[in-house]
Amino acid sequence: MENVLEQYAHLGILLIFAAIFPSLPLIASWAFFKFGLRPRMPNAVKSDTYECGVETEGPTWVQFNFRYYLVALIFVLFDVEVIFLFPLAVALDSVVVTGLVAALIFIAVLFLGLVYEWRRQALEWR
Amino acid sequence: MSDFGFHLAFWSLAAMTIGGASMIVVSRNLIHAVIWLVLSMLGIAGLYLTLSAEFIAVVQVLIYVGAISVLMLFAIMLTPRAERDNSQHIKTAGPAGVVVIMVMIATMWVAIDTDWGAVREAALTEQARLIGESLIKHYILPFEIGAVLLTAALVGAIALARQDDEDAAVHAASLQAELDDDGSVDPVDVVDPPLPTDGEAST
Repeated sequence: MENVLEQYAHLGILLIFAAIFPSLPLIASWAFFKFGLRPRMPNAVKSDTYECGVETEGPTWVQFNFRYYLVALIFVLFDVEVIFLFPLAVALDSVVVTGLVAALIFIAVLFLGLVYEWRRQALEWR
Repeated sequence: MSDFGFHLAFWSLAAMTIGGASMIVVSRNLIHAVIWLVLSMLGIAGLYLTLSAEFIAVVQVLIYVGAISVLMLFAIMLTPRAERDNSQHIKTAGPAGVVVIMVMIATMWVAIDTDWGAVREAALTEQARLIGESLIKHYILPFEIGAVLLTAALVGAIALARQDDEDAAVHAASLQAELDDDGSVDPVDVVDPPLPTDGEAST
C-alpha cells in the first residue's frame, strides 16, 4: 500500500509546487503594494483583458453555440465506452472467448449509435 | 511513506474536496462554480489514490474532471443568460436542502455500516484486470446494458439537439444571405448569430 502511495507523493509535491509557482508572484505583488513599494496606477489599457495581444471584442460571457454541447456529449459517451473496454482489454488473456464476444457486442451496440449519429449528420459542423 | 505523509495527503485532499465543494455553493458565478467543482473532483480522485484505487482515480480524472466538467461548462455557456448569476432566490431551496441532507445521512450510514473488506495493494493494470475479469464473469449483462444505455443517451442527445438545429439552420441560412448582401464577413462560430425568438437556444 505504501509503495503506490509513495509514487504518488511525488505527484503531490509537484502539484504543490505548481500551485505555489503562479500564486507567489501575485502574493509578492500584493505584499509590495501593502508595504508601499509598488505604485498602483491603473488605466484602461492596463486593466484590459489580455487576449494574446489582440484587442478583446464584445462581452466575455457570450452565449455559446449548442453544437459544442453536442460534440462534448458525444465525447463523454465514447469516453465512457473506452473506460469500459480498457479493463476488458487488460483481462482478455484470462477470458478470451467470452471477453471477446462481450466486447464485440458492446462495440456493436455503440456502433449502431455511431451509425445513427452519422446518418443524422450530427458529426457535421453546420 | 510514513504515516505522517499519508495523513498529510488525506487531510489536505479532504480540505481540497470540501473547500472546493463549499466554493461551488458560495460562488455567484456559475462558470466559477464549475471550476471549483473541478477542484473538488480532483480532490476526490486524490482520495481514491489514498485508498490505493488507482484505476478509479484515473477514471475519475478522465470522466469527471476531463469530460463532465466540460459538458457542464458548455451547458452553462449555451444558456441565454449572459451574467450566469446563480444569485436568484429559489423558493424550494429549503425543502431541497432537507432532502439532500437526508440522502447524505443515508449514504454515510450505508458507507459506515457496510463491511468493505480488506484493501489490498494492486498496480493499475492489475486492478483493471480484476475489474475486467469480474465484468465478464459476474456482470456481463449489466456490462452490455451499459452499452445500450450509452447508445440511448447518444440517440436522445442527437434527437434533442438536431431538432433545434434544423430550426436554427433555416435562420442561419437567411442570416447568411443577409450578410452576403452586405458583403461582410461570415459569422464567427463561437458567437452564435442572434436567435430569432427567445427561449429557442435554451437547453
